[in-house]
Amino acid sequence: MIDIKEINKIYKTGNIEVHALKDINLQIQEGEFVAITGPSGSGKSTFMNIIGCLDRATSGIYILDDAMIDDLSDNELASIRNEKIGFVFQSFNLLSRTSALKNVELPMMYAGVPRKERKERAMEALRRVGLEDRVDHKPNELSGGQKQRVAVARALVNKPAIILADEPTGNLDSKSTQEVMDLFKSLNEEGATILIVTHEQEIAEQTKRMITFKDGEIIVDKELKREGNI
Amino acid sequence: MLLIETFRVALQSLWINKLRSSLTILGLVIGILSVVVITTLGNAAQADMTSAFDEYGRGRINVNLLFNANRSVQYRDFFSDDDIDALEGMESDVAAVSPELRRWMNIQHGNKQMRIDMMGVNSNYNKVERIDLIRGRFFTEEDVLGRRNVMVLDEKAARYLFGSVDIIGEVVSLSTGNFSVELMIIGVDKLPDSAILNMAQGDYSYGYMPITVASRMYFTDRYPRFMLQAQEGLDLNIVSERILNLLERRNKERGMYRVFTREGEFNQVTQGLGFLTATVSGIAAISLLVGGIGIMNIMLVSVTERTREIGIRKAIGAKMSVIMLQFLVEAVILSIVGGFLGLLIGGAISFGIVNMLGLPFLISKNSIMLAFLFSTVVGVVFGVYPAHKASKLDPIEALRYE
Repeated sequence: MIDIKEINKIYKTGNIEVHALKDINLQIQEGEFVAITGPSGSGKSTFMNIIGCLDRATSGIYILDDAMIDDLSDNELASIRNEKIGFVFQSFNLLSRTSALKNVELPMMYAGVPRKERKERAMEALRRVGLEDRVDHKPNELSGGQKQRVAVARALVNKPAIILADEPTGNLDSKSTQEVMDLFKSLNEEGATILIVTHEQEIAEQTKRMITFKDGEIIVDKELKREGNI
Repeated sequence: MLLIETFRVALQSLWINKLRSSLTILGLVIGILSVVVITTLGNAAQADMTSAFDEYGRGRINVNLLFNANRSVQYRDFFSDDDIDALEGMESDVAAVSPELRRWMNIQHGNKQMRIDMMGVNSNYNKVERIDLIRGRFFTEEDVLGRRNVMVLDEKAARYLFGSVDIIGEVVSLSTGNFSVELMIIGVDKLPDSAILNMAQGDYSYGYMPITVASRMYFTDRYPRFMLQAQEGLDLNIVSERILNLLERRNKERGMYRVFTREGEFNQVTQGLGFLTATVSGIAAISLLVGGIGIMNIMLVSVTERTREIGIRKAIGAKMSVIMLQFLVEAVILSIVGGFLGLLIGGAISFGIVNMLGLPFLISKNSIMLAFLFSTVVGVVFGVYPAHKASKLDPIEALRYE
């Protein structure tokens, strides 16, 4: 599913070089539920951007779902993001003046899905996250947890290869946090591959595999035993 | 598919900022509006002049004795009745000829009086100049040969002196210098239909009397000028040349005369009018440029404001071309709506003005097309840069933008 070999990322600002990622090697299989943790500045966000095809590595090989990402153009990357990746952000990043339904339809619009099918699938995704009675609400009429569930619906609606969540619970209270985490868990049960970037240990511990970054390197990569059942 | 969506999204985001959008297009509305009004008025004026010309001036030639030629004017230079008869004899070229003796005179009726341009002409004059009588008749050959004291007055003077046009048989007194004569009114000439001509004439008034009466008043049997109507369909330059040849044979010196054709005068006037219209529209078109800059400015603001939105769209998979198209479509919608409103309001305003002046209302398909084409071009030209800027945004940076 995801195969990363010898990835390096170097930022240059003037004469100063920052080696944000150092020779990262990683494989993630279909159906995995992975947490990436580490202190700020450890390189986990950079890593996330590269996996999300928002940024390119300075060197190394990144294969996502049989596609070589490294030598794709900006427009090809946009297509990959559209088809293979579902994003969930800390600050929700929903279009503010657009209804929940239309927000969820957005990725399908760029994928060229016909109007009618788009609406049906968006409704279905919103039902999946338990917001079927909020489809016409705009983001400012929704609570934080509801907003994030709309974002999750948007992330999964195009049936991506992987859902990338960047601090998805960072702006949520503990109740909403658990709601969103439960949602991720059940999506994973259904076969979705999910990768969560977080600095919160409790969040990371709810996943099945924890990768810890420090100073641009992976220092821990361990399987977690899930406690309890959903 | 995506284009329709893009359209919908663009309309939506313009609608959300209603006030801003309408203020943005105001510049363009005013620009298109002024171009439309100016060209419509110009066209109306030209059409009016053309129809006036068709009525009055086609095939008309005036020959004037020059008083500022190389040598001073002598008695033999003036046209005699024999000259006029000889011109009348050129039957294949000439339909009608009339000499003219013309003075400003005082016309008086009761206690009202005014200045009037009195023209002594013969009975053929109504074949040379369009005479459109609303009352009475023009004078006949008998009136001319019999030196009858009759006259035709124009509508304006009739209304001023008598307060009416039903004045056939009334007698007025005309005077110039120390000579005066009483003339009976036998006809009233209608004002021209052309609003432009009427406006240009102001309070000018005129009258016609038999050339023989004028001769007696001015103590002369020779005329400095004649008017001639060429036979239909002839080239006026050739006819003019033949006239000059005839005059030459009759011992007249070519250099002492100047030949005018109405066509020449008319072309000068309409060309002048056309040039004026083009120049003023050109100046008005500058406001289109200003309008375009306004659109560019607001689109740049919009791109900055919506950086985060652009970031979200890009992260979710919008290609550069899609983002570019979205902002470009917004700019073009703004400019087309501006162009449409400008056309509508400009059309309404010029319709009002043209109606008030009694001119024909002509709005050409070309000018409508041009207005739309121009506003679309303005939208594209001034929308490209902001749209390009939006499409080039780095999604990571854009998502971080607060």
